[in-house]
Amino acid sequence: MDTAQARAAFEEFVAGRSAALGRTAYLLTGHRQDAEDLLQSALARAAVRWSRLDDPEAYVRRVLYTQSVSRWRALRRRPPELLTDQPPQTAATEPCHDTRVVLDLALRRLTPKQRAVLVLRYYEDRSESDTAEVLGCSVGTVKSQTRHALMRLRALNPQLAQLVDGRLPQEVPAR
Amino acid sequence: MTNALRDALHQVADGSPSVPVPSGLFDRARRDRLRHRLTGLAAAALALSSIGLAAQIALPPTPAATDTTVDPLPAHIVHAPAWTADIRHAPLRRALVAFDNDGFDIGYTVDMERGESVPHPIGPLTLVGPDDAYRAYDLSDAGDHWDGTVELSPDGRYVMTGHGQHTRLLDVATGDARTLEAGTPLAFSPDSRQAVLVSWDNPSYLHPVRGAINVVDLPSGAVAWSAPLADGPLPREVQAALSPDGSTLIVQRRGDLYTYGREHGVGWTRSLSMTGGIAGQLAWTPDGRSIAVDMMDLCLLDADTGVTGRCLQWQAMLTRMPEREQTFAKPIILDWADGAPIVTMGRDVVRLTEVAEILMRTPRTDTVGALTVASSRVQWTPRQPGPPDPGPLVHRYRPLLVGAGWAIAVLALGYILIRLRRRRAPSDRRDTAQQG
Repeated sequence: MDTAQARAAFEEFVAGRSAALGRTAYLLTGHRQDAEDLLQSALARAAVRWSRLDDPEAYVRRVLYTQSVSRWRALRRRPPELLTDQPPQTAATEPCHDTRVVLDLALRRLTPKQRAVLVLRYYEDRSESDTAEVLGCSVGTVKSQTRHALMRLRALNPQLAQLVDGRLPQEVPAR
Repeated sequence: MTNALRDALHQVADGSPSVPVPSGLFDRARRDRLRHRLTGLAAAALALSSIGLAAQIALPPTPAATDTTVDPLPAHIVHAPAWTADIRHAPLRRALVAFDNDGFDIGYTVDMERGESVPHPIGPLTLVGPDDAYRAYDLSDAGDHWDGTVELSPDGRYVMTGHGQHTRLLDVATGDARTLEAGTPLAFSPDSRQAVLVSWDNPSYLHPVRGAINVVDLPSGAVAWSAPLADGPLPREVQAALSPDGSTLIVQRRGDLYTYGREHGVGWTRSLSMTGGIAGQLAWTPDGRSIAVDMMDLCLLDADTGVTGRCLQWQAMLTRMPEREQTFAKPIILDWADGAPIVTMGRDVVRLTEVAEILMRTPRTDTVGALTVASSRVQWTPRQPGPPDPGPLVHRYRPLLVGAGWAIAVLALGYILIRLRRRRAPSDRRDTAQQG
């Protein structure tokens, strides 16, 4: 495959699969900018070895997961916002009771590895051994990370406790 | 559990903002890869260069254990280039020639006891090794000021310089210098295994002049035996040379000349004219039967009796030599070739045959001081020299490189500390917030 063919195939792949890959990247990072950065980084890695890839999507997904838990990547991540003693310029909003939003916010409170395990196990429906293989860790680590992630979700919000325990979350009336 | 959480996760994913992928990512990725590879190559080259540089700075080459080769003498030597490496950082296999570039380059220090300024040469010495290798030997950090005396061992391995009441011994093959406390240098033994030093009991301006001549082993500096110097008049002056078998010293104190044996003490004694003296550290002929002494003519004295033997007729103006090639100085014996002495005279090495032949010249434009030659390791058939090799350039800029290395290390450490503080700061604040 020459370069022109590889470029065309790559662009076709990006056009077809970037939306789905972007969603996964968002789940793994919890921020749009970080997701964009993560996805571009994974696609760039795929681009330089495109002609040698048998299953590009599997490769890109694997890079997404491994990079999302990479220590080096964590070092390059944007610095956190600075806390100041100034009051916020906008008033605090009412607590949100939409399960989707609550889960979205709760995922951001997990560690990168816990998020990756949850996404692989419950979003992609992978087995524990598959998850361990993708993340390059032991099955025991996957089990413990899953357990800690679910415990953390339970602790963060009662709605999520219901969700984790398998009950449909009940809408809490807004005050 | 699984279905509820899965559905919720899919809802989050479906409701997530779109993540755009810029066009041209394929080409940009390949350009980035090329740039990363070039950067990696440059970094690897830099790292290898740094390692090589560090090794070159830290590890001077190990000299050969026994080096008995003989190198031809260059027909002339030149001023060492300004960027010549220091011998202590870039040792030589051996030095063939040692000389002071400019004998008039002197400094003054105040002698508090005498209340007067004392001149002393500044140096540095220039050492010339095989294959036109040049090295500088800076004596400015040797503690006491260099008094101008310098001797090169006949095998070219050691250089002795005089400093106050002691000697500094440089091992040319390793670059290491050590102090010999047994006195200031007079001569090396012909086999280069011992050195003759003189130590004085009184300060230089106090009468009487007394002390001892010490024969020391090299490189330890341990005194093997000594010859006492009886009380004498000021100023203190002495010359000595050790016989080839190491058993007897020829000693000159002003106008007196005598031998001193290790076993039997003083041998014969005689007087000389004040203008002459022992013809250097190799004044003894190789068979040990005669001693060359400058007595207006260069004469051989019988080593057992002190009687004057054959004299070589020569004048201060060398016979049949054009004026521009004339050289004026006391002859210092370097070797004997077919009965004709090879000597240093001021700035030149000359074979004193019927028609004197200049074997090696030092730079003509300035007065050269302290010229010595490793006589047992040179071939007296001179060769035309090539351009001087001033040694690895890195040693010239050693202080700059070491300073830059420290600066880089400090900057890197500072960067790491700042990064660590930045990483710790959010977690600290989070902990504080939770405690609050």
